[in-house]
Amino acid sequence: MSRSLLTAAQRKAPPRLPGHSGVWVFVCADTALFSLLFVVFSLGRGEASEVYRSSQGSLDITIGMLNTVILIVSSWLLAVSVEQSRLGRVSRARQLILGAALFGILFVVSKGIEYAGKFASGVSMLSNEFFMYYFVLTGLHLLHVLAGLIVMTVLWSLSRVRRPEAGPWLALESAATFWHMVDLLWILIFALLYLIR
Amino acid sequence: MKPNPTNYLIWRIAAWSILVYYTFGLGGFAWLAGNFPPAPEYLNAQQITQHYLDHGFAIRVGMVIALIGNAMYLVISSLASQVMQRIEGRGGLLSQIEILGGIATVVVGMVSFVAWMTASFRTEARTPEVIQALNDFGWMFFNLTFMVTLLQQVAMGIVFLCDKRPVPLMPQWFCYLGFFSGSIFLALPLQPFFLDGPFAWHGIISFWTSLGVYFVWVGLLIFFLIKAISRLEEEEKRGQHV
Repeated sequence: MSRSLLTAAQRKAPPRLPGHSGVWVFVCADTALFSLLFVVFSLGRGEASEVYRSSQGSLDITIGMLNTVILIVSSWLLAVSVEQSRLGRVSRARQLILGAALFGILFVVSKGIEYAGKFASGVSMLSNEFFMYYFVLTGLHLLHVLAGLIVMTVLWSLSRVRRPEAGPWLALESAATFWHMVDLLWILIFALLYLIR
Repeated sequence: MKPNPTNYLIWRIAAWSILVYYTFGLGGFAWLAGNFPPAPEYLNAQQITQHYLDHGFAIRVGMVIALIGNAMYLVISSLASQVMQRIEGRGGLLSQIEILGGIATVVVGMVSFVAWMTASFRTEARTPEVIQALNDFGWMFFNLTFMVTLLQQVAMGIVFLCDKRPVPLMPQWFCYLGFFSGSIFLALPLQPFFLDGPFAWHGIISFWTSLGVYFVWVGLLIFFLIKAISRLEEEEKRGQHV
């Protein structure tokens, strides 16, 4: 009986966006900004397709794939952390935040290895237009990853003093929303830079 | 001794100084000085000198007007800091960072505008390399000092997000818009590396997107500050003054 009442109450509850509603403004605007960059990149590729094709051939798809898997796992851990926090399991949520952050750090390390390889073979942002976009798109994305890591570190330390019954933790939901956007943007960057010929 | 009550009329006048900032700043910098769109970064010394010879008078008038309007950002930043202190407490650190960021942003405009004005002054008596150097310096100073404005936006966002009022003085989405505007600025350090494309000073990201979003953000800041002033006045009347 109480279960069916709860379901009815849940049905009546207005739909809620996870996290602060404001974070969605950031997500939409930032995605629009990256979309603009994707359009400019695609236009550039249309004009100098040979340079783009030969440069793209030197990118390592395996490391790109690895980056993608790392970020997806990280996002999944943070999503589970949100779920655990909603259920009041704060210490479990706290462990999952740490896990997500560690995978985020792994992404930064793998990107560092990839950049080092490029620099060692004499390739830089100034080599040609393709590599300008390669370094700018992945570099701006990496700044987002670093920002996400800072936020996760702050939340991880705040979670120490959080009460289990405190209801939905909007800050964690906002961070997870942002982190999923970072994930989505990476998947688009990966497809555009590494895969689409 | 009880301090004098806040004069909210002065706060409102400060908010409306945005009109001088917009009309003088944009009218002088963008319209009169012909920066809409700006002379491209890839122009060589002769071409940029010709640009200054052709538009010298309009650029000088534009820069004089822009310099007057630019100073109003100081007034706006002071007002924002006052409102922030009603959340953070008197003399709060982030409110201080905000006003300092505002002052520095005004200096950024001042130095860049004077550099461009100098390039348009006695242009015919200078070598093209000098004109190019002045023009380059103006754009470098204008764009690469972005961190002072970004700090201001982040400080403001954090304080307004920490507002414990049931209905915060500033909407949450506006705080995130400030973070977004700041995040576009992060592309500005790319300017010295490219003469053309989206990250050159005339490019779609460095110029159109970063300045466009910034000016929308300033306009919305004032809109919400004016609304916040009325609420703070109400709070003070009801004796809830922080």
